[in-house]
Amino acid sequence: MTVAILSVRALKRARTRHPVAVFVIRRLLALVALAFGISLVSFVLTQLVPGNPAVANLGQQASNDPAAVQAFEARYGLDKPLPEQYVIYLGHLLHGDLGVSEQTQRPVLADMVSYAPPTAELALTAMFIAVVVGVGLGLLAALRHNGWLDRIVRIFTLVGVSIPIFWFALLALYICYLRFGILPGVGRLAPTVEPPPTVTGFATIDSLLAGQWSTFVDAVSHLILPAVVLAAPVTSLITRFSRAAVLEVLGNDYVNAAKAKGLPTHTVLLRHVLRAALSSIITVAGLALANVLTGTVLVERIFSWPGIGQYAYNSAINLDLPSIMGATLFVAIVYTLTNLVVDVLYTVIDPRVRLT
Amino acid sequence: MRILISTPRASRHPIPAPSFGGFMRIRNVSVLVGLLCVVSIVAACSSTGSSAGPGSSGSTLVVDSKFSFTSKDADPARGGVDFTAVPLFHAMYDTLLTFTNNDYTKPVASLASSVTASADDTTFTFKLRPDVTFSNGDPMTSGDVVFSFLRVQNIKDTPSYLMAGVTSVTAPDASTVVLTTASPDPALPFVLTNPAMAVTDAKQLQAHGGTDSQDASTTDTATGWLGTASVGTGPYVLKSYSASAQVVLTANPHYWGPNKPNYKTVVYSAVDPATQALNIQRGTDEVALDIPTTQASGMTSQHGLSVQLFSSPISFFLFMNSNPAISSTAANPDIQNAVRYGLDYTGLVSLAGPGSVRAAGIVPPGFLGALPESDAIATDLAKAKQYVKDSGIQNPTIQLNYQTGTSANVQTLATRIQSSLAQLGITVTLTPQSAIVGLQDYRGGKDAMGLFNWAPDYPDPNDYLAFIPGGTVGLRAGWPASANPGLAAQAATTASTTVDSDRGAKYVALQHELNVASPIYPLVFPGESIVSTSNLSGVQFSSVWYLDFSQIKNK
Repeated sequence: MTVAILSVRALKRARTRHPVAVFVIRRLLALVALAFGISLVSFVLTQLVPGNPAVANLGQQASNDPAAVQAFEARYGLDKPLPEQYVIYLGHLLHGDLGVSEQTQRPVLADMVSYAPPTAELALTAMFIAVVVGVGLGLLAALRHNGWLDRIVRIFTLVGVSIPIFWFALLALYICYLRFGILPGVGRLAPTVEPPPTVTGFATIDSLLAGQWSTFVDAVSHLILPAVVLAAPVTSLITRFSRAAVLEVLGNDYVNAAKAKGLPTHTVLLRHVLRAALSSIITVAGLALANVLTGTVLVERIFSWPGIGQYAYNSAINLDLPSIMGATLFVAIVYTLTNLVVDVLYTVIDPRVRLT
Repeated sequence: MRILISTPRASRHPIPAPSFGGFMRIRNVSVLVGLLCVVSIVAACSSTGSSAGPGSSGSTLVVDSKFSFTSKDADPARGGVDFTAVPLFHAMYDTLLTFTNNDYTKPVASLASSVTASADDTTFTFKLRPDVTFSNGDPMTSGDVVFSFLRVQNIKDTPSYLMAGVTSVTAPDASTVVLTTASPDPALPFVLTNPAMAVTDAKQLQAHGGTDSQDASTTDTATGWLGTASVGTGPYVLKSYSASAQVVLTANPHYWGPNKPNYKTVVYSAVDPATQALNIQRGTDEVALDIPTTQASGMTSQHGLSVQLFSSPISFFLFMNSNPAISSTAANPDIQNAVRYGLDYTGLVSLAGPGSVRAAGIVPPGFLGALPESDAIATDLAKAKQYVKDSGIQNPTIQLNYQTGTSANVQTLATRIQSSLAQLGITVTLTPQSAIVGLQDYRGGKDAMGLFNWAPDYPDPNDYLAFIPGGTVGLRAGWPASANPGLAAQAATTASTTVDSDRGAKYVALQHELNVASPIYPLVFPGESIVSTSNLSGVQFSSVWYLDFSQIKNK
């Protein structure tokens, strides 16, 4: 009893002294429960698909061969009852084992480790473009409210959120690659370029670490087009929200007061207007990451980008259950962690925010 | 999360005045961002400016394919029948027998210098060439052949059915291999040309978890390793693979054969078909394998490109399920005949795109026993309408299942089938399905009417015994051997005929019978394309290995 009271007191003390740390720890613990829930939901959903992994993976003749079907099911544990399959999966998951992919014959975790960095490189670049361009355009459009610039930005953002990403990708390739040749086509590197030794899995960073300047140049040039395509809808989204948030802040008394005090315009904009609008912009940016992650499936397919998106696509069409589960868990965890970072960022940009 | 905000609305209260240092940090970040953008633009321009195309040096050949490479596709015993991976296997591995000059009617020696068959085609003796070495320089022996074949058989994966009739594989001496079969198997030499029957280095594979033992399905662990190295005798060796991106091959320094590799490096790149057209027109890649034929035919006039249009050996067929429990309408013989004579075959060929040809029988053109196009069933609407009338079924309605996402424009074909049967008064309900969903019902024989395809496993008509009553596809169409014992017996006699000329004639006769009696209707061999830069020669489609990299060279 005494120990329990002490623990509660210690928790309260820690919450008072280190609220952010306690918040982060609580959210990470919740993430474990969330991972369990996601694994259960994705497992049930994959079982509901009216398909048979053995039929999907074995050929015309082999799927008629009972020995081949039996061997396949035994290899991937598909011959066991569903609850047992899930319990076994969960047991392995607790040990960091996501199973073996039916497509690649490798541990799913190893696949994730090799596929995640290309997606991260693409998604982070796209998010960087989206945030920088989106916030900048949103700010400009708000400052020129109802002017020609504002109208142009509104039209472009409407197009940006409406345009099908695969069509935009092909259009971008046609114009920038085929027609004018200002950017290279698909892939992470030109076929003739020797990939750098893998350290981080980011072709740009690894090439710099290896001192391969020409490879770095090639990697950056291959990154631009898919990143811009992936960023397009998200940029439009952030632009529209930034514009709205800045417009809301611009009319406030403290902004007028700052102007009246004679502060330089850029100081007023950056330190008073933008900072106040940043909370809602960060919220949208966090949510936009989901758009980016789902967009990678199409963009990676068209740009032959060997990332999680392609991996998930191939897993789905082959009904590769361990890989589908692995990719689902990966995306869910990334998304949850991003939301956690966004929540923590609130406290950084707005001291009035308290996390409990 | 609960976020506690100390004030009801953040915007109503001013934020403390900023410090000058904070703005400086922001400005520094802005400068950094600007610099990064400049570097990126310079990088982009400098990179594309130097992209003269990989093949321009003659040291690298880049081939675009829609394939998605997996470790399974690096192991011939598991992925050797995957049609998109066979060019890779053919480049890295050799088989005992092969074909030359696109003549698929007669296998010729490759790793074997000779083959002799017993009079009843149950024992095949192969003499091996003495000068063959693996890519590490080790000589190939009969032990390697035995190991490779038994591994295919015992690993119980997709290609294992190729060894179904083989009862023993032995090596009487270091240069002789003997295969025996349970029953006469004149198709065995054809089967052995399949890339899945590649000869692998037993010593290396065993060192990395490979086994040919009877429990290989559970104990063999070499597949993952084969994604990092190849152990064959082919002109190229595996340098690297990036799943879903590209496979890089390099010339085999120990290659024994006559067709020395012409390129130091071959890159087999996974590229979406829509992007392949851009790559080939831009000249950055040399060969594109999956550009739709309608688009490819429009590229014939483009300078610097060479376009080949040809019919695929993959046959598209329609079937009506003869099992009344699945559909009494589809199982009705008169309705089946009405469909046989009511389909708009010419229209279907036209819709399948340039390069497509009518499937006169189920065996593809160029294979032993193939029917000439003139022997195909002709559309006869009057006859078809009479059959509908004779059936006595009022307003016959059938559901047509088919897979979306297959190579030909299946949706268009299904729509044309629907419209042509509507002319007869037969209502067809279209049910497109994804592959993973549709295959299960199809292979389980549950579809009333289906539009599917068949890719040849090896270029011999025996592979098409699947279409006889009681065969693999026959059963999927609810057509057991008992439904037509005469035809089943005729097929069995044809299958065991040993002399090729007799076999060819018997397969022609069998297909004539099938064309008028079967509930499976061969429709079309759809068109395919290979587009290459015009500076290349030797770019030629093969029904067995799709493309032979070692034959391609700069003019």
